[in-house]
Amino acid sequence: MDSNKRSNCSRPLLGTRHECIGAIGLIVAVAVISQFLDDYFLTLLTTISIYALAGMGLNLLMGNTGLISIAHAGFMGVGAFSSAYLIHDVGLPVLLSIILAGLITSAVGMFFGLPSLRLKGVYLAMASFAAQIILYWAFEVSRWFTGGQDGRFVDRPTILGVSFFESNHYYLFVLAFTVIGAIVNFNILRSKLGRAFSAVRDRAIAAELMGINVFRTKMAAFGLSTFYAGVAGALFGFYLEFVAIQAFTLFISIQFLAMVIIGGLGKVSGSILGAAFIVILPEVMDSIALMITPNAGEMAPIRMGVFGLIVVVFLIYEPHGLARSWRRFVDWGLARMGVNR
Amino acid sequence: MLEVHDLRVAYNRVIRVLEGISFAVPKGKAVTLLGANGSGKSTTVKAISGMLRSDNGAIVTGKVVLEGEDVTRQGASRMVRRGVIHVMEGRFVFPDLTVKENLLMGAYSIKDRSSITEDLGRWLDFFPVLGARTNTQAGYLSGGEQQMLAIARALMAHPRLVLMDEPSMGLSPILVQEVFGVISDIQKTHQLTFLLVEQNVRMALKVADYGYVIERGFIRLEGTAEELRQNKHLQDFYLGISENENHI
Repeated sequence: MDSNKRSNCSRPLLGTRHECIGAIGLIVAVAVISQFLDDYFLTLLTTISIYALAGMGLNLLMGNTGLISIAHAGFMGVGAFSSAYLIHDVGLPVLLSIILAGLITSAVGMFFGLPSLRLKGVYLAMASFAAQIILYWAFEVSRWFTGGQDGRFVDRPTILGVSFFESNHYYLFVLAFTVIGAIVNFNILRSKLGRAFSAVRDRAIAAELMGINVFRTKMAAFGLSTFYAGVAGALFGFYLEFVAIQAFTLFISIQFLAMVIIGGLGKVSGSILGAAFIVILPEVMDSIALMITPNAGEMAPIRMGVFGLIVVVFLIYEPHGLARSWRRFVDWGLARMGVNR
Repeated sequence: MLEVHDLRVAYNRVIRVLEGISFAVPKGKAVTLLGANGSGKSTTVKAISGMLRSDNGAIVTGKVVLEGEDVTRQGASRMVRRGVIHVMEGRFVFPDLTVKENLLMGAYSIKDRSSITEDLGRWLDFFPVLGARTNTQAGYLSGGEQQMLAIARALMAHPRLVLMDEPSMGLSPILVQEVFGVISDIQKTHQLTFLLVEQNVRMALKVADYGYVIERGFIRLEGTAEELRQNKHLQDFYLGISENENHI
């Protein structure tokens, strides 16, 4: 790609200069700070990063292409079990297994995406609901692959002699994937494919008139989206060192939906902020519950209710999600510092 | 350039709309299909561009030939790659994308990126209303501006044949004049081939070289624009400029 084409047809890797500097600063800061955190905070941070990766996938599908999936936890499960199987039963190297797990999930995702050619909105949601049920059932019965109800163990990776066994080291491993995922996501949205996604979302008929193959574009969205989910699933498996089918239920799929909607549809930052929100909010509520009563268990049912309520309030007052709040905050900060964007 | 032979089209397999129509569009000329609501004009262009499927319609018999090649029943994206660009009735711009992004979408089928930039500049100059609002979301443009955008977007695809369906729809008379002025300009300066579908007979015949009148799925009348302007039947039924006010 020569410089002329780049300047005209795509923006630099991470957006404008300020956005780029800000993003790199943030990544370095998180990487450094993570090395000094205790296990509790590392758990939160790692879960956020993995969920963010899965969220980016779901957001490509929902926010950018206007499709829907209530099966993303199921797809994550496909990735988690595939990588565990490929490493321990087939004996493939870790990185290759992660990529292959992504591709396998992608194939499964495209298969379950086939109804999107004919179905839209609520109907497509129902079809993907069925996909979640089918996948969960398949996990239960394929004992050779998943260990069934018992689940299966996975080792944290060692790559070229470098061990990622310690949680703080493993976090860096996850962070690398999340960062690459974000950069790729960001650039897809600025590419021809990204524009085809928006075109299909906004007006499928007009997209067809532009020469876009709507079916292929939808399949690409499902393939990419579930590739992200598959890789996130693999990383999740390594992190827990144990893959259990209970980690990939319908409830988690719905949580992912909430995550992208609260974060902000169609925005990379939305996927990340949504993941942070969905992981941190229950923790904050637990701390508050502990302040009120020493027996936090009593508060559990109330916790779920309050969680739901906060989500609803959020949707009403910030329908464009946390990504919009974040944008306003950054703009305000930059304006205060006198930076001209 | 384009020949349509004995085209019959049905929706949902039973509702017959076209009952065998044949016509031709010579290279570099503008041909118009005229007719009342529901006569089958839009169906004809959809059958050519491959957009029937989205309405659950299908070509029953007949042939569509583009520059000697049979392109009957080809999908919409294939037809775009062959240079047949359909500007649908109702404009269909992407409301959330900016004017510039809409135009870039138009160039989706173009591989050569430097020519895209060149085209973008050219058409933004040619349509000053768009040039002034490149970063505005298309949903915020007026009807006339959206029509201009839809035309400009079609031109971004380097069309060999433009199928234009009712560009006048929903526009005020002054905007209709403006839109047709633009179509006429482009057609003449770029030697483009146009198939124009219109209810606004008067405007269509100003732009077109030749015309066909469709009624209930049949071609009832054809002739040069001048002949059709003089035709009594057409004057009575579509133009309302008959000297004899007592016709039925």
